[in-house]
Amino acid sequence: MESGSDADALRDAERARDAWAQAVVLPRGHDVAIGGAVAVQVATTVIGLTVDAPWALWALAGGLVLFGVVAAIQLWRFTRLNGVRVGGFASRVVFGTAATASLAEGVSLVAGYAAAVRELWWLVALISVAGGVAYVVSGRRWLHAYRQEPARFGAGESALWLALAVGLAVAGLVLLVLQR
Amino acid sequence: MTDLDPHLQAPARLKLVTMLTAVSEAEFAVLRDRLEVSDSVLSKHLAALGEAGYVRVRKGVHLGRRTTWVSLTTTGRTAVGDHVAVLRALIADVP
Repeated sequence: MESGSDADALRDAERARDAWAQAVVLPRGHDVAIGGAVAVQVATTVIGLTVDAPWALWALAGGLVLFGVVAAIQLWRFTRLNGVRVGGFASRVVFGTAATASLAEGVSLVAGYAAAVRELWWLVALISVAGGVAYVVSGRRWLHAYRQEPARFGAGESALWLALAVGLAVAGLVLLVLQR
Repeated sequence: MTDLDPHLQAPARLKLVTMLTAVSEAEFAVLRDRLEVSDSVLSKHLAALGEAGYVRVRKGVHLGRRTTWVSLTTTGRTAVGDHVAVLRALIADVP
C-alpha cells in the first residue's frame, strides 16, 4: 500500500472501531439493578457482621447470592444487547474492579460497620445506598472512557484474576464472620 | 523499522482486526453487519487470520441459537499494535 492509502485504511479502520464502541450501550435498568444489588450487599454484609443472630448470617449470604445473580444477569443482557463481550465491562462495571468502585464498596462497608456498631440503622441504609450510587457512577465513568479509547479500556482483568479476587473477598468475609 | 504485517495489509482485514481490539469477543453476525461484508468474505478473512494465529473462532449459543464468536488472540493483538505503529511511522515520513 502507498502512504496515502495507508493513512486512509488506518483512518477508516479506527473510525469503524470508534463507531462500534460508541454504539455499545448498557442494558435498560442496569444502573438500578447493579446499584441496588451493591447497596443490598453492603447492608446485609454489615448486618451479618454486627448482628448476633442466625438470620443475620442468612442475610449476609443472601446479599452475596443476590449480587452474584444480578451480576450474571447483567452480563448476559449486555452480551445479548450488543452482540459482544467486553472484559472491561465485566470486571470494571459489574464486578467493580475500577478504583472508584472498589473504594466506594470498601469505604461503605467500613462506615456501615461503624454505624451498625452504634445501632444507627438509618445511617447504615444511607451509607449502603451511597455505596451503590458510587458504584454506578464508577461504571458510567468506565463507559465514557471506553467510548473515547475502546482499545485501551475494553480489556479488563482476566477471569483467573477475577476468580482470585472474589475468592479472597469471600475468604476474608468468612474470617470476619468467624471472628464475631 | 519492522515491516508491515502481510496478513494485515488488506484494508478490510485491518478494519476487522482493529474493530476486534475494542472487544473481548464478538458475534460473527454482528461483525459481518458492522463490516458490511458477506458471510463468505468474513469467513475467508477469519480463516486467513486464524491460520496466522491472530484470531480465535469458537462456536457458542446466543439467544438460544448456535452462533460463532470471534476474538483476537494475544499474538493477534500484538501484531495489530506493531502493524499500526509501522503504518503510523510510514504515514509520518511522508512529506
